[in-house]
Formats: sequence, structure tokens, C-alpha cells
Amino acid sequence: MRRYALKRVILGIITVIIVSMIIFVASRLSGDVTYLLLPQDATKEEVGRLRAKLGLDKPLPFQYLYFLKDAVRGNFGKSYRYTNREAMEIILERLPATAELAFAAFLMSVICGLLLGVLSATKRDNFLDTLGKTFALIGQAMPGFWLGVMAILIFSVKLGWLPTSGRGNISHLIMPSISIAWFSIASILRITRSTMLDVLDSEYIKTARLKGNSELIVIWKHALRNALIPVLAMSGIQLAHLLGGVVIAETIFSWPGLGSLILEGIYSRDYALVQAGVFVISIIFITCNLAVDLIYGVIDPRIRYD
Amino acid sequence: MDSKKMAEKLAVALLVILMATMFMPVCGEAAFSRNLVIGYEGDPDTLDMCSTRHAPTAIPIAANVMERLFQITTDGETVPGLASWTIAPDKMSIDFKLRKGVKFHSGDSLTTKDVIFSYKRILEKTTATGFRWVKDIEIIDDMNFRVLFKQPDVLFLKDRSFFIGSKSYFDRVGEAEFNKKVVGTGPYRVINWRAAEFVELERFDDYWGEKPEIKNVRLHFIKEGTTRISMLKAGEADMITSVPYAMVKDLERSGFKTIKLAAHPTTQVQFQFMNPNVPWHDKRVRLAIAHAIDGDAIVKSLLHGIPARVWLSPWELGYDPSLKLWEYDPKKAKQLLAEAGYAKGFEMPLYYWAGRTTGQKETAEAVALYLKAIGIKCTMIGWEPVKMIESIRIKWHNNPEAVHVGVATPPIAHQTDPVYGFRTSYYSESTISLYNNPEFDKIYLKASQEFDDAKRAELIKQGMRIIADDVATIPIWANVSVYALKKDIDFTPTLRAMDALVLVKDIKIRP
Amino acid sequence: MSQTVKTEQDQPIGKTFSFMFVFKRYPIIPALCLLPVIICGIFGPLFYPHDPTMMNLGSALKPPAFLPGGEFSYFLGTDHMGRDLLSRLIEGARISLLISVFGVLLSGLIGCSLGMLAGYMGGKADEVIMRVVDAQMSIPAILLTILLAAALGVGVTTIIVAISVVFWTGYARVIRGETVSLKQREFVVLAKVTGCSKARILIRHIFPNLISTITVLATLQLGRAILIEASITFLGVGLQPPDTAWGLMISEGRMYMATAWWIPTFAGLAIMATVLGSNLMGDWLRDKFDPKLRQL
Repeated sequence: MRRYALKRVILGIITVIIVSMIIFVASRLSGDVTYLLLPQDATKEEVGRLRAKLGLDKPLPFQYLYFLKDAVRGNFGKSYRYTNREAMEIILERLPATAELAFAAFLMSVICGLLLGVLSATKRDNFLDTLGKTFALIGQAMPGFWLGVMAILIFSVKLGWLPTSGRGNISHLIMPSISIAWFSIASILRITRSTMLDVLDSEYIKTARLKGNSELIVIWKHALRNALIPVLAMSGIQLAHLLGGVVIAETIFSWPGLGSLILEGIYSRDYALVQAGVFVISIIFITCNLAVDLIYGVIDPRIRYD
Repeated sequence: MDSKKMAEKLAVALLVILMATMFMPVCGEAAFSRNLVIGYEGDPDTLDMCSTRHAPTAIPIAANVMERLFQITTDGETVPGLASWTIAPDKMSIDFKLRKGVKFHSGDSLTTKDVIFSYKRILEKTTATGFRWVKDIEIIDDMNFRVLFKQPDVLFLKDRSFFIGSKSYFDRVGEAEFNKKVVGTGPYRVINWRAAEFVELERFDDYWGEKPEIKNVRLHFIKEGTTRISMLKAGEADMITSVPYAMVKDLERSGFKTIKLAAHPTTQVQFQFMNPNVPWHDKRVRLAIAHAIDGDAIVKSLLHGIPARVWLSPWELGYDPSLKLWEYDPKKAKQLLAEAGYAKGFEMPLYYWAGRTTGQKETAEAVALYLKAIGIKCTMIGWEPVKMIESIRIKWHNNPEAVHVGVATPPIAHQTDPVYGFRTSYYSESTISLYNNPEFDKIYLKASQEFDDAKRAELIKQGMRIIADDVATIPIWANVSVYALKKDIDFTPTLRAMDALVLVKDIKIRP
Repeated sequence: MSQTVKTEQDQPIGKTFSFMFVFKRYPIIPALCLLPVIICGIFGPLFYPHDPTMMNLGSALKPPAFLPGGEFSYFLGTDHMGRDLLSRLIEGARISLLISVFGVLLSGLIGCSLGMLAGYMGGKADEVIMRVVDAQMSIPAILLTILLAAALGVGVTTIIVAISVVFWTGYARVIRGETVSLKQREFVVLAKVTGCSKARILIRHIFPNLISTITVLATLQLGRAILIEASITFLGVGLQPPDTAWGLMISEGRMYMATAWWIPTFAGLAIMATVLGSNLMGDWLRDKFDPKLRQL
């Protein structure tokens, strides 16, 4: 077990290094930022001087090595978009907002997904089940940005129930997290439903029923805890969806988080910001996945550690 | 390990977390006692105007906090502010005298040390376009200094010289804090600035000038136009800036007030016509294109009649009532094309600036369609600003082999002074200029050194005339920025400030 | 971590109406959703009511024919530039189809070959490929697509390239797993013994057994590709005029949500219907081919 964990951690670190390469290459492909930093009537010499100052005149592999050397120390350079500030500092400042939103969306998707999944499995093929399935299908087909725009129009402007945008108390969280979570709710619902159907047919549940447990306990205690395992197993994939959805939701709801920041960085060709931001997101992702893998290994003895 | 027990624990843990989040406000932030809330379209990189790299986004808000040496009235008049000025007879230097008793928000007094500090900071941190012709700054004493020029530069004055930050404050707190909590001499001081979220301002009671009415204001940075509108409609904001043209009527119908302000830039069809091998090298072809585009219809239908159809607006220096935009006349356009030998038309690229500026894409599409009607087939190419600026500098600027026609926004109308646009976009030595006419260059150089408004107006008229005669550019619409406010709020926008400023001192709440 | 999960057991036929049975047996709903898109995508230019890019400022913002003020010739109304929405929807279908199909094919090609390679060769090649897959999967797909689209410049081709570069990992992971298990099967071992070359084994023996998996995957990826393209176009880094795309119609039309709801709404519905169709089709194929694939 310990060897397995160690191996997973080392693999995680290798993954992080490859991520850094991907980000570096992708962001360097995107054009020369020097032209944005100079006055409109700058001379060629001024351009050259700035390029030298930013290290852009060196060959790409060297630039990558310098980048890596600094990145190890947490230094991703200064942001161009947010003048004179350390990119990492800005990213970390925005991280809590994104974490809050992603966490809310994650909770919402797990809870709603499980709840609807179980209901849909126990009331198979009746009205509730059909509703659940339809909900899942629509959730997976609806573009998140469309949902967001529509939601603002209906719930903030027409009905005046929820604030349009920004970060604040829990009412600010509702619309953005729903617009992110719907997709994942749908996936979790489907998985829960199919595992529940399996579990409900198993000997184990039949025994529980025979023992005279009430139907409620059988379903919500005995059956559900078995159904949780595959849900946990796919939560890594769900996290990727959530973090992706965050980018769009933050833009529409003016949520001051990482996603909208990285997007702004891409628009303004702010290498430092984009690199630091994507890096942090993928480290979060890798760490969470590692944790899920390890937990999963602990609770499901069928996993072999090789 | 017992897997079932584990799963059970996990489920319980999840439930507990859920309960906790349901009953606890996620972000325990005290409600802001709101006096005024404004939805602003930009997200300033910093409020320190001595180091900003995105002045057009930052200035409209930061101008509440930091001030330039001279002030601008709401009518666009430059008047003494932190300093008054005397121009030397040879115009190679300007003497400044600082106002006495001006205090920064940090409590420090304004002296020439702060002027030098700001000058150096701007030179070091920013593109410092305003100091193009500044040779040096000489300190005379605590309250007097002299700016020396390499050549006379009227724009230095018209730009109201530069922003002033506090040296003593900087020395005390250092770079990071200086950036985060900006201190200026303006009528409002920063209470709390959060990038991408909002800035809270409070009236500065030791302000040297007139005391404004509003005490507290919170400006939210909302990039999405539709979200800004929703904020206003939902009652969350008292005022929003930069209303998309398409939604102006709807807001007016819903009972909101709108205020329109002529502001930079102008959307135009711009030619690089140095290349003798392109059809538009022939002036008749450019003229044909000018006559083929129905600018009035574009403004009326596509932009809801809001922007202006002008070379320069009547309030601008050098406005020439006899200089008219070309009339829509497809017959004449076809005839001109035929005369030039292109009766069957030709193919041409039409570059446009992709991104999020409203109206650009639509205008480019409309232009392409009007040109199709006279036989010119446009290949539309939308590029992002970075790529576009890079290409202009490397590929198109002063290149006799360039093949470029674009829908772009080089400054002409609605600026502080039209000479500014001459300098950046039409003077052949500016690296983003696509125009090259020695005669025009001469006039520009003269105008940029002419401090007498009446004489400069004459030069600007001549310069505009040359550009128009060359059909170097076809202005389609000059931007008009729209503010929307609740009925009980009054706001006087500032003319001739280049950007659409949001000066809180000019906002009043009617009882 | 392949969980073996049983599919829904088929309903006893007698219990349900016969048309329900038809729905289960044949992909009626997915076909209803997808067919119009495919037809529009392939034959669209033949039956545009109007030129989708033809602007007519005089007839801007006309409501659909079934609303007061609508005209029959502009069945779904016009947008802010007076362009016919129906024609634009049809043209949008063509672009969406083009991008998603080519994106999915190209990424499938890359992903499947690398996945098969990794699974069959094992060892170093496997390690390297799977690490890259892991790394790439840890960057949200939408961010990576935006990053690439911004780097390569706007346009249909660049979006196809960006989508292929981002999506190949999905195939690689699944195909690798399948290849590993196929590798130990008797017929492959036999082929090896009889001296078949590696390439031959991969192409002639392993690949045919992967086709059903690939088909299911590809169908499910279609919907994702359409959603991603629409999202990045909406954010302003995807397609640009003169291309006509659904994402673009929503992004331009959202200003008119209050005054001319039909501009963004029909495009949104079109995206939904198409993604729904391809998801349902994927589900159906999966149940048909191999119920084990439930977790794709």
C-alpha cells in the first residue's frame, strides 16, 4: 500500500512537469506580447531591448528551462495584465473564490445526483424516473453559457430573486453553481441509477429486507453506501468538468475567480498569468485525483496495487 | 479494511459538510452601507496611474483618485489644477507652479519631489507616450519646476501633463502596498480595491477643490454588457457605463435615463495604398469604395442610430463644416471602378479587429456586403489585437508591398485634440501608421508645435483635408459612449477627455 | 477500475406498449434529433431560403412567422442585421457538423493509434504516452482549447485542430485499456506465434475488435465537440464572422434577449437538440454493442 501511494505521488509529479511543458508551449505559440507593452510609435531598438529584458530573444528550450527554474520556487514572473504584480500572488488571491464556487458546485452535483439517482432507480419507469432521466439528458446537452444567460434574465431581472453577478453571500452562489453543476448532476445521476439497480437486485439487499428493515433504511443506508463507490471513482472526471465549467460561469456571472482571470490572461497574452493559473488548476486536479485514487484503494479492496 | 464502514463514514462526512454549508453563509462579509453603486465595463490593472499599462481601462475610474497636473472641466476645458503653467517664448520649456496646501490621501503634502518621482515612475513602468518629446524635468524649488522639450509639444499640455503619486508614501510603504492601496490627491480615496471585483471609494475630506456630494461609492467591474444591464434592471446598480447600443432603447423604455457622450474611437475603413500592384492604389478605387458604403444605414439600423457620422464633431478643434463624408452612391461607385479599369471588380482582403468590441464585427460584415454589391469580393479576416498590431508594425507599416485594407479604429474624432490621432495613426513615422504622405507629415509637425488654438485649428483642417483628399480612410462611425442611470441620479459626463470618464464628483442624487 | 455494471434489464415486452418497444429497439429519438442536422449540414446550401450572410438592414429584427409582425418568407425571423435566422441555423449546422465530425475523426485517429500503441507495446512507450494523457487531462479541456485557439488564430481549421489536440486523450485512455485486455486473448497470442508482424496484429487482429468501442466513443465525443466549439465561440475566441456558427448567433444575439428573444433562443435550441441527439445515439450504440462500456 505504501509503495503504491509513493508510486502514485511520483507519477503525479511527472504529470505536473509534463503539464508545465504543455502550458509553456501553448502560451508561447500565441504571439509576441512586446507589441502590447510598447508605445504605438516605438522604434525597432526599443522593441529589441524589451524582448531582451523579458528573455524573449532566447531559444524556446532555454526559455522553458528558465521558466522551470523559477517555477520550482513558485515564481512565475510578473503579470503584464495586472501591472507589476507577481502572477502567483494574483492567482492565489483569486483561488478562494474559485474554490468556493467549485466546492459548492461539487457538493450540489453529488447531493442532487445521488438523490435523484436513487429516486429514479427505486421508482423505476414511473413518472419520477422519467423526470430524472429527462433532467439528466437536458443537463448534458445544454450549453452552460446559455443556461447562465437565461438564468440571469429569469431569476434576477424578471423575478428579482437572486443577484445578477459578483461574489457575496450564499445567494450569489446559487445560479453560477447550478449552471456548472447541472452537467455533473446528470452524470452522477446516471451512474447512481445504474449501480443502484444492480445493488437492489443483490442478495445482500434481499437479506437486509428479510431481516425486517424498513424500505427506507434498506435503500438509503444499505443500498446507497454501495452505490457510492462508483460515484467516488468517477468524481475525478467530474472535477475536470467542474473546473472547466467554472471558466464560463465566472465570465458570465462576473465571479472574481481563477477561470475568468486565466481567460483574461489569454486575451491579453499574459504568459505569466496563464501559466501560473493553469498550473495551479492542474495541480489541484492532480492532487484531488490522487486523493480519490488512494481513498478508492482503501475502500475498495478489489483494487490491486501493482 | 472494512469497505462498507468506510463508505458509511464517507457518506456521513458528506452529509455533515452539506449541512454546514447550507446553514452558514459561505462568505461572512458585512453588508456594505451603500450610497452609490456603479457597474463599470473595465477591470483596471492597477489604480496607480503612474504605472498602469492599460490606461484606457484604468483612467475612467482612477481619475477619481489620482489627478494630473491640470484639470479638465466637464466642458472639456483645460484649467490649472495641481499646478498652473507658463509657456516659454521659444516653447522649448514650460514652467509649472504647484498649488499650495494640496494633500495626498496619506496626509503628505504635494511638492516637486512627487513630480519627479511620478515622472520617473511613468518612464520606467509604462509606455510613457506622453513624454515622447520631453527632454528632462528641472526642479527649481519645492513648488516650482520646469519641463524641457526636445521639440515643442502641444499635446503635453492638452493631455493635462501627467498623473502625480506621492513619493513620501511610496518610500514608507514600498511597491506592493503602493500598488494595492493607491494614494492620490483626488476627491476620492480608495477604501478597498479588489481586482476583477470592485473598488470602494470614499470622499476625501481634505481635498483641495470643491467638495463633492456623494460620500461612498462602489464601482463593480462587470465586463459582460448583458450582466451590467441586468444589474441596473434588477436594482443592484444605480448607474452603468458603456451600454451596448442594442439595449439602449430597451432601457429607456424600462424607465431608465441614458446619457450619451462623444468619445474616442472612430470605426473606419483604412487603406494601406503604397503598393502600386493593388487596385486600391488607384485613388478612384478608394473613392468608389467610399461611395459604395451606406454609412448612414449602418449607423441607423445596425447601431441603432447612436454613433456620430462625422470627420470631427462641431465642438472639436479644427472642425470644418465644409468637409463632408462621402455620400452613398453605388452608381457613381461602379462608374469610378470602371474608369479605374475594374469594371468587373476584384478581390481584396478586409481585416478587422476580432475580440469583444461591439459593433466592429458587424460593421466589417456590412462593409463587405456593400462592396460585394459593386463587385469587390472581400475576404474577411478577423485577427486579435495582438496579432493585428504585430502585423501592422512588421508587415504593413511603410511597406510598399503591403496588401492591406481593414476596418479599424485609429483615432480621429472625439479625442482631446485631433493632433493626437495625427501623431499615432497618420504620421508616417509612427509604427502603427499605414499612411505615408510627406505633405501631411509637414502639417502634422507644424500642428504639434503650434500652441495657438486658432492657428492649430487651421492646420488640423488642412491635415484632415489631405487625408480626405487621399481617401486614406473612410470614417463610418465615431463612438458615442452611453451611460444609463436610475431616474433619480444626475450625471454630467466630461467632454474631450478621450475616454468616457466616470467622475463621481459629477454625480448627484436628487431627493 | 472497470466496474462491471449490468445494463437496464429489458422490460418484459408484454408490460409496455408496443411503440415503447420500438423506441428501445431503434434509435428513433436520436435519429429525429440528428437527421435534420446531418441533412442541413450536407445539403444545406441547396435549400437556404435566403443567403445566410445576406444582410438587409431594412428588415432587421423581424419576429418569426408565427408571431404578430412576422413574415412567412423569414420563417424564424431575422437577426439584428436583417439576416434570415432559418438560413443561418442551417448554415450553422453545416459548420457545427464540419467541426465536430472532423475534430472527432482527427482526434480519434491520433488517440486510437497512440492508445493501441501504448496498450500493445507496453513499457516505455506506454509510460510516456499515458503520462502525457494524464497531464493533458488535468488541464480543463475548455481552457486548453481556448489557449490553442488563441495561439493558432481564429477559423474553422484552427478549431478543428484545437479540438483534435484536446480530445485525443479520451480515446487513448479507453483504447489502451481495451488493447491491453485484447492482447492477452487467444487469437492475438496465436497470431503472434504464427509470426505476424506487430503492425499486422494491431491492424488486422486488434483494431477490428475495437471498432464498436471507437464508434460509441466517437458518437459521445461529437456532442462534447459541439458544446466546446459553441462555448469558446461564445467567449469570443472561437469562430468569427463571416463564418456562421450557433455559438456566434448566441453571443451576438444575447444583447437582444429582451427585445428579440428569437435570435439567441433558436440557436441555443439547435445546439441542445444536436448534442442531445448525439448523446442519445451514443447511449443507444453503447447498449447495443457492449453494455460494459457504461462508464465512457
